[in-house]
Amino acid sequence: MNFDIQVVAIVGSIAFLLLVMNDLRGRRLQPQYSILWLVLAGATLVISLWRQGLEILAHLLRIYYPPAALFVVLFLVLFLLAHHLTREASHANQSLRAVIQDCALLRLELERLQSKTETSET
Amino acid sequence: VPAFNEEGSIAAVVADLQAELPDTDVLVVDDGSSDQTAEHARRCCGRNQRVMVARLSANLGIGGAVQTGLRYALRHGYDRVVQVDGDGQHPAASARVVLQRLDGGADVTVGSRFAGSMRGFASTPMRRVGIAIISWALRFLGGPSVLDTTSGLRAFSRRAVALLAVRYPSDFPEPESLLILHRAGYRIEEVPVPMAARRHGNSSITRLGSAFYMARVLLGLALFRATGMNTTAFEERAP
Repeated sequence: MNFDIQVVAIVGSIAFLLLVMNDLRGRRLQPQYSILWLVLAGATLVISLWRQGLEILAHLLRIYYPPAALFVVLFLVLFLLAHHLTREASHANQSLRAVIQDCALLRLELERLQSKTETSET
Repeated sequence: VPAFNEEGSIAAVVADLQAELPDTDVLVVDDGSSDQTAEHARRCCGRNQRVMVARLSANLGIGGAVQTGLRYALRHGYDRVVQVDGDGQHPAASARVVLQRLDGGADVTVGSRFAGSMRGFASTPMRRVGIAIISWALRFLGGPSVLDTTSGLRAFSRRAVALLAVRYPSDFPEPESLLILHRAGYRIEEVPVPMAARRHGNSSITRLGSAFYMARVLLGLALFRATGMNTTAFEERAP
């Protein structure tokens, strides 16, 4: 990693961190996700500041080429994240389905009750 | 009667059902249509209290629509339910036949294009192959022996309604629901009935979608065999 790319990485990480904090401020993220993204943004910042960290990580994973260790970890994290989000989406879908059905059935009941009271009034 | 954008046929379907089965309540489930399906269904029978329309606020697909009807039936304690497509491919006379066959003690009767020696609309050759493969897979996975696995003309007994109201598959639900019922020990019977080609609108399954349909159905069947009944997405109580 040469100096220029390190500057880019640091600036990128800080920008990402600010983005997450801005989302937090506007309450656009659920708390559990904001924690997740803060940790991820923090981790990228640490890795871009502390170059040796990546080498230690690569050594621990017995990977000869340090950036490859970064890719491995990133792939893993992104896969897990994508999987988690699909699962959340499926769950949300199921709940939505129940709510939409309930809503339709309740609306039907309401309409029937209304037409019943109308006919009994006249 | 599940209906998605069927303004061209829904009025005739409801009127046909009313004429053939006058003592039966008709519930049209409008699956988030963007056309006038709900209005046409309502208008056709004036103030007839037996015809009802439930409008889903978003498109849930055929599974979500049929389940809405089953949940309604369970809540109001109906003894039997018949599911009829909103596109007019199921003549009400066939619906009556399917419904009456429940008297023989079956929990589910499936209106079939292929059983017996029925002549009538029997879909395209490609689709018939697909339906046959699903039929084979259904038997292979310990399901019932049904030829017309994707038929949308089915009648349910009270306890079949109670089961499916809380557990109904989502995307392409017909074959998987048969497996669910069969594994629960319910008796399924196939009844030969004539069907017609749709008169208006388009099938929800496109040519490109057929491959996906097959994959989804087979995966759904296999998954159900692997996981069984132990997952329930719904709670619903009879009155």
